[in-house]
Amino acid sequence: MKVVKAIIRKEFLQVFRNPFMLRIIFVIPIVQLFVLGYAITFDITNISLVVRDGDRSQTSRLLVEKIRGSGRFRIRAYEPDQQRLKWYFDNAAAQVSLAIPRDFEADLANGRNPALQILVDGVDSNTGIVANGYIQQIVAETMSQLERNHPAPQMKAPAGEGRIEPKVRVWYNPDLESRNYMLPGIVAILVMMTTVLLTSTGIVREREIGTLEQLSVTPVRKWELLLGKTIPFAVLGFFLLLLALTVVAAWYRIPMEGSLGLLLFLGFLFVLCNLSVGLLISTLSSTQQEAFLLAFFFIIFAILTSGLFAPIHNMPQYIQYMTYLNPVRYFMEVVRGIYLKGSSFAYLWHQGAALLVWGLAAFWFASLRFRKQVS
Amino acid sequence: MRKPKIVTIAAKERRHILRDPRSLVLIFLLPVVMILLYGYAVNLDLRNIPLSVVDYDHTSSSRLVLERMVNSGYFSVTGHYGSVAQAEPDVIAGRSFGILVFPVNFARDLYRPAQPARIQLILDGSDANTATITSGYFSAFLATLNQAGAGFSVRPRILYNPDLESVKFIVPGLAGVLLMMICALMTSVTITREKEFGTLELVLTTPIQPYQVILGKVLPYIVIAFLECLTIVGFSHVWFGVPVSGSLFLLMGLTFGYLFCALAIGITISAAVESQQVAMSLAMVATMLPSVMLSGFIFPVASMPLPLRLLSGAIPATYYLKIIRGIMLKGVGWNELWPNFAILIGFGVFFLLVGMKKFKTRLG
Amino acid sequence: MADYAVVAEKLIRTFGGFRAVDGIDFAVERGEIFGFLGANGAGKTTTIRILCGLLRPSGGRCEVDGIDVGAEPEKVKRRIGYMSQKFSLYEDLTVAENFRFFGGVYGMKNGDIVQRQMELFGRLGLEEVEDKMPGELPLGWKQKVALASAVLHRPRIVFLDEPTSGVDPISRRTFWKLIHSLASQGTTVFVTTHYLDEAEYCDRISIMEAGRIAAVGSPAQLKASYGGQSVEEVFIRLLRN
Repeated sequence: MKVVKAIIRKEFLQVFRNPFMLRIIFVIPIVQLFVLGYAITFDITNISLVVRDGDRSQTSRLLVEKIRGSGRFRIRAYEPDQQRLKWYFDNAAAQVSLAIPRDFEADLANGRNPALQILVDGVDSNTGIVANGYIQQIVAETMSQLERNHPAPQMKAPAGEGRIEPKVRVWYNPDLESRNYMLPGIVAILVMMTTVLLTSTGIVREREIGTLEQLSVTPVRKWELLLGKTIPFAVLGFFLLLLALTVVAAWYRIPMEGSLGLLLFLGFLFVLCNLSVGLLISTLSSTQQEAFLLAFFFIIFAILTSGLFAPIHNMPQYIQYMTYLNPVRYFMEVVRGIYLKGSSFAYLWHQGAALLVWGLAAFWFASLRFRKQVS
Repeated sequence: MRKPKIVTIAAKERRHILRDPRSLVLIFLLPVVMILLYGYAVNLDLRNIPLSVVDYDHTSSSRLVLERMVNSGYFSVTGHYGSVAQAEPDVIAGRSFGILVFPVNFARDLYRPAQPARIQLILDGSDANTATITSGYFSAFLATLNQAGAGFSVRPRILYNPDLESVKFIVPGLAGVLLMMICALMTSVTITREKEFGTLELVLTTPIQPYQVILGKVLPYIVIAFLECLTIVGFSHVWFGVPVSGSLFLLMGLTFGYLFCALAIGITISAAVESQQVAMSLAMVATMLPSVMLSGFIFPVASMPLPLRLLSGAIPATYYLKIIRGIMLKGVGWNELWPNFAILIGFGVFFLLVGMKKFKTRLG
Repeated sequence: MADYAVVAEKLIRTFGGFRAVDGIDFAVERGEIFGFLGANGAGKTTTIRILCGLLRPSGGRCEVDGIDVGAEPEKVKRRIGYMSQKFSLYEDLTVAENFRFFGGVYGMKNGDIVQRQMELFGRLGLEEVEDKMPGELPLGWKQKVALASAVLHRPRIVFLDEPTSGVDPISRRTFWKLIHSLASQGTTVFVTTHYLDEAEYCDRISIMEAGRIAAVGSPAQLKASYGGQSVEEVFIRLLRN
């Protein structure tokens, strides 16, 4: 144990001596937490819109007014020329355009069924769909209100099909506040990224500068070395977790339905698991650059298959199997469960067990791979 | 004629690179794997959104509307339940994403022009993204239905990506993120590595200029980055059918502006740090993270608060994304894209000047 | 068998098809200063690495302090000290912190480490650079720090791999005085070097060439056998054959 203590002491000294590293460990993830909390929004607002009002009637002006008043769109321009509309899309100046044809009001009254033309930039498909939905909804509501106030006598009477209005209700997250859902997950990812990066270069670095050889000549045992290099970062990683949770609570004021103690306990297992993975990566690489790239690989895989952006049960089966190797997958359930649903230990213990098992397995693989021999 | 010094340095660098095949493999494997993961795992396209149905009306009208919903391809039915309470467990378990409720007088209200009929959609709000989009689909679907009797119609046309495949949106963005990171990372690491081993000092004692050393070291990585870009474009085209609507030649040319910018950033980083470990972390933090978060890669910038929107304008990836998406998906050309290119070059020059100046003060 | 500090019997080490160490035999007496000479690439560093348990022998055997290194490398490590060519020290730790770290790694008690530090730093004149980083020190000082770290746990046998490379002549002489005082306390010193003039400081030397040992003996013996006023001349004559 004395040997492990000596190694831990050295690692701490090295980290605190290096101001850059400290900033990267703590400051950067917290800054990201602040930025991402506002940047990760799946709410679609402020959609740039180009309007071509070829009618200039009371109806058309009302339509445009309603659209502007909805707060969802930002009207970029009033373009008189129909042909020019596509220009806005090509230059990424607008995402949606609405073209009201000439004589729209008149045709409406005469039952001639005029058509409104909507162009949607399909590149960002999600925004496109939602924007399309918004506009259609606003148009439909406006027109039906008009109809009620001034029923046009020659309007085609619906043959059995009247208007259907959607009534959408949202459970669990009524404001569709993506933040409540996303931020706990972001904390998990930030902690994972930091801890994996820290440990992945640890061993390779010593090999590259030559101090590993000096250590190899001493009677230090493999597990003592690996443990000594892991524990300091376990402490730092856990501290980062605490810091991040504080930001989430104090700044974003996201309430936690469940037990903080349980979250911290499972969080600690999560940190350990990530560290073991980082260690494993370190023993698999021969240069620091390789270790970094490999770690990056893993991080990307972990983020994309964590269940943060898309639910795991929607993924193809073989990818679902791969996610069992992803520590974030388990912890994502934990954070979301504790924050949003108040899940208890009885429900979450198998996530914790998975983290523990995988962490130990990774540590074991790492110690198998790691040789005290130089060549 | 004597070989220019830059070429000598570049040749040495190339030998270094080839001697580390694993890194090289990882560099080219990374985008392929990411594209595959995005295409298959994180597929943001929503089709067949599972819904539970509670039909209190039990008329042919409600059944007809439901049939139309399913036929649209956007929704699928996981089960019919007698009440919302009975349907709720499915939502909690994640088997269905929402509950579609036809109220008791649905068919009757359809025939009453004064009062619109209502369909209620209860959504699982914990996945806000899917909820928002599902709501959008739902509104659009009903709007289409409504037009039959409304006296007017709305004709939406989707430009550039008619099947609304999100992979076409994501993949070009991937190029932007990865290229920036690889370039900045590789450049900063290679220069810092020589600093760590002391060989940089050694080279500088020879009658070679610092700028020649730096440019020489950086040259092979420009080649690698170009190859990487081609890999991304090629693979996504072949595997996922992402089109290249515009000129590939123009894309490569404009990509050069972006790479120039990325390399300049890498050089500046290497001037500021002493160890590889810090260089790599800084490169990732300064290039990849902002590029992913604020460039419009996944999250719509327009929906972000003003300070972040302004910040987005300071990120080179934002402009490159417009270039690559423009060329690949929209088929636009130089006329539309040159301002973005100019901005990238401007960024590049700025960082280059800063970096070189920092080098001079460090060594001088 | 007499109690030798280091024994090698037909020791072989290959890397792929290349035989870096091609069947060498030698024996080092306890308390001896044994110089392992040879040009760069002759196989000296590889041999030392095998003896320290860093590389497995491909063939033959070797014993250090009576322990078969090939079979039980870890057992050997407690009893030996090692100083590498690169003076592997942590650049971001001070001299004192480096020392204390290695002391901890060898499992020494705190009190013992402190005492040893006072002793060694005093003898080597390192007190003034205690709180400096190795990077700030000139090569001669780094070398002394590395040596201190190598002997802090009082090993019976010390392996020094090219400890004087690139160091100025005055520091080299001082270093060899330290080696002598080490040996006079009973420590066996196994030293590799490519400075042939340093051979005169050793009790016995061996000359390695292309993986083989060309000659073994005291400097006086070798000069007598091969003729020549200096070890350098012996070396040249050997190689000419």
